[in-house]
Amino acid sequence: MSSILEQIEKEITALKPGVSKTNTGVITAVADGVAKAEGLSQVMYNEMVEFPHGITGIALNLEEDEVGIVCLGDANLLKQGDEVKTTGRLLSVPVGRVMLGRVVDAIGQPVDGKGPIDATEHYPIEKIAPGIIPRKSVDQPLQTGIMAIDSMIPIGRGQRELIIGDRQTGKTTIAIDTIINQAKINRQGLASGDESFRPVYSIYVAIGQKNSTIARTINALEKAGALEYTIIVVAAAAENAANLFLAPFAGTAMGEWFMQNGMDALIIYDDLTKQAAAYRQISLVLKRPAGREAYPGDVFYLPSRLLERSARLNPDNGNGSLTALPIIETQAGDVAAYIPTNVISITDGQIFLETDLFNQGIRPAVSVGLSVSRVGSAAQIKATKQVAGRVKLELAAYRELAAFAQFGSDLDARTRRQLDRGSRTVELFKQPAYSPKAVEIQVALLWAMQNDHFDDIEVEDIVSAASSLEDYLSTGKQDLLGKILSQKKLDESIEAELTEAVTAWRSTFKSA
Amino acid sequence: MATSQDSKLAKRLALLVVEAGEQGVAELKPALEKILAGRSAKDRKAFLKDFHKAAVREIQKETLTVESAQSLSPEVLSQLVIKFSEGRERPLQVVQKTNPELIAGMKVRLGDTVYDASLANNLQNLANSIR
Amino acid sequence: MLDTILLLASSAPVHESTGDTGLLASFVELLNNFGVEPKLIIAQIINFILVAFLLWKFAFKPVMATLDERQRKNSEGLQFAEESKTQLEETEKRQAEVLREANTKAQDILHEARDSASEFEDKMKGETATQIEEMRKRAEDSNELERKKMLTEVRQEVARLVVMTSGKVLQRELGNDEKLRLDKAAAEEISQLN
Repeated sequence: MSSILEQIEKEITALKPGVSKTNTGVITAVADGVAKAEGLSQVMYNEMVEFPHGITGIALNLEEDEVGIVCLGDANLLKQGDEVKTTGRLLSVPVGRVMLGRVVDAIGQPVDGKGPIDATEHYPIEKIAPGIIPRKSVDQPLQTGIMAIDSMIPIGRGQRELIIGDRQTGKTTIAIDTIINQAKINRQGLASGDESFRPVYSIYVAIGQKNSTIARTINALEKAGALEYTIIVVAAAAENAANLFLAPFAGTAMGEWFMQNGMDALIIYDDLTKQAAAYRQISLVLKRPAGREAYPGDVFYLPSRLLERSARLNPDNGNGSLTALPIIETQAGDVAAYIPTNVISITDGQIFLETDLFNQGIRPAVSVGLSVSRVGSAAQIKATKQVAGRVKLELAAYRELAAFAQFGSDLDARTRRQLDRGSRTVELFKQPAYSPKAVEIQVALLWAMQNDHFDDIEVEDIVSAASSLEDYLSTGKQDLLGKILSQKKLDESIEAELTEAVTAWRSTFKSA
Repeated sequence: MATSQDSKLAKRLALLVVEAGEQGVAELKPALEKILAGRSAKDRKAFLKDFHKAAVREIQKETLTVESAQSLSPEVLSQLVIKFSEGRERPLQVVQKTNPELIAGMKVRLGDTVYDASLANNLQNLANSIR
Repeated sequence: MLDTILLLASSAPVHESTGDTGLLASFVELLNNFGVEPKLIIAQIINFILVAFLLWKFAFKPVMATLDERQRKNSEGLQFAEESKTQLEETEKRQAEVLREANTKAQDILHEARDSASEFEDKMKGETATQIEEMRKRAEDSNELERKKMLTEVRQEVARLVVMTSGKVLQRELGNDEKLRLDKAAAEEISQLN
């Protein structure tokens, strides 16, 4: 107590009486979370302004004698005639390592009840994306732990890969799996004491989701021990449209801190459709001209300025990276709708999830034909390339053949073989939620598939066979897996060991 | 219903009247009558509202409001008026208010800019600075 | 036997007849006496040869073949029995060997399992220890955070109170001269800022 008083005393003596100059205005109208104010002649675009009751807002519309301000707090407390003050600051959020393991709102204030965040640094939420010179092409893998993705649609650090699909197709699950896998790799890598190991920190931005869903996600992350490497930015469905609109920018600012400080970060926007809708709402209330589907004219600029901030920086600029996995929800699988096409065009590929596949039990329901990764293959490790190089083509051919095979009964041996292999590969790629596979396990499983070790197992037993082989390898053949991981490629000796191991496993495996 | 044009006209008229001062007010009535003739009641009301708003804003720009804990001594006031009148063509309207809550010092408003040099504000800043 | 009869038959008339020329005639005569016709004899001989040939061909030979076959089979059976015996011995030997091998292998696996189990145990123990440590740390951290939060709140509250009381006190206590001085200073500052 006495120390507090002493401190106050010290501050009082250090205080210099001064004069403060502020620019003020008066609220003339409040509606739908947007306040109009007169005055504020010196306000800047995107500047934070202060309302009474400690509510902040952002000046978004500067007109001749009126300013349109979106409120970030409870706009119901404001009334006509209230005074508004400029602050001279652009909206910024706390950043840094202290944010890890925390759940914050769109302006970086903690909402998890774990006390205040002691952040020393703040970043403005709107920042110009890194230019061409400081960038570097993507060449390091970012493993999602999902076999279908890591082998066929690989993602690299600094890439922007869209996850797109209808509702209830497992989009969020892929994102959460990826975060969990990063945590797993981080823990292993940091425990190994490898100097060159680069951990990946994750930022999960929940936009317009139900609070129950968010709680479930946080729970899943905590259970998997991934929360300590993760920042969660929440703008729930019940919050103001302005919060939904700003949360992705806040998350990006937090990710940028890692990138600018030579670290790797992963950011997930779940989902950007809701952000676009929130922006539409704000724009309509601000009476900006509406375009197609009532979106404002600059809705194209919204995701592009957000996603352009994800990059891989070159060693001269710290060698950091920010990988983005934006999520977009489609209606009835329509990827050609307004917002989806817009986001597809500015990302480096997309993972397309199909309702039909999901309902057939193929989970993750990744559509091989429509999913691409434009830069990720440069980041794949050699071992994966060796075993997965042909998988995508084979699967595509399988789908085509399978469609034809429904009509004809007599098939030649080659076609028969292709169909068998295809159906087994599809089974092999099935993976339950929240159980990412390590890259060496993926390589071993795919190698076994490519080298005909699964050919005499019934198709419906492939899933159990794969998990049994995984168990066998991870319990008894740790050193072999370690070798695959450290050498990053399959040479003759490793292949011989793999053959031996898989043959030994095969003699023990009995299909149900 | 040329509302945007009407409101522009109202603004210009307000500016003119405020610039002209006393004389402007005398000339205002016939001008207003001319403008308002032949307009619907709704348009008239809107026009007058716009005019009023614009006039208030223009007058505020020319008004120096000095709020202090006790009535200021003439020399302090004149010092402020001279300071704020620098670079202006027309003299400022000065409004003086007393507000004991300021404790000491003063708060000066010109247009929408507020200069607060009161003791109360300084104390408040002090309270805010302690975290 | 036929030859003997023929010889006997032929020898008898020799004693009765005299001279060589009469020998053949006497022989034929003898034969006739006995009722032997040369034509019939020849026919009989042919018949006999035919029957003998047929018998040889269709009876004797197959019987002999069957006999041979049986003999062969018997000997083969014996040989097989012999071979089976050796094979059995060999199999038994091999079985023992495999059993031994399996045992060693089982031992090996057991060892391996034991090793990996203990390794796993160690790892788990280590992990649990770190986890406990982490949990402790986290608890401490959150305690610390809580404390800081409280401290901040207290500080802010105290500051608010101090400011409020000092405001009240100043309002009451500040003399007119002092207020005038403050006014002047404030005006000065505002002028400087503008």
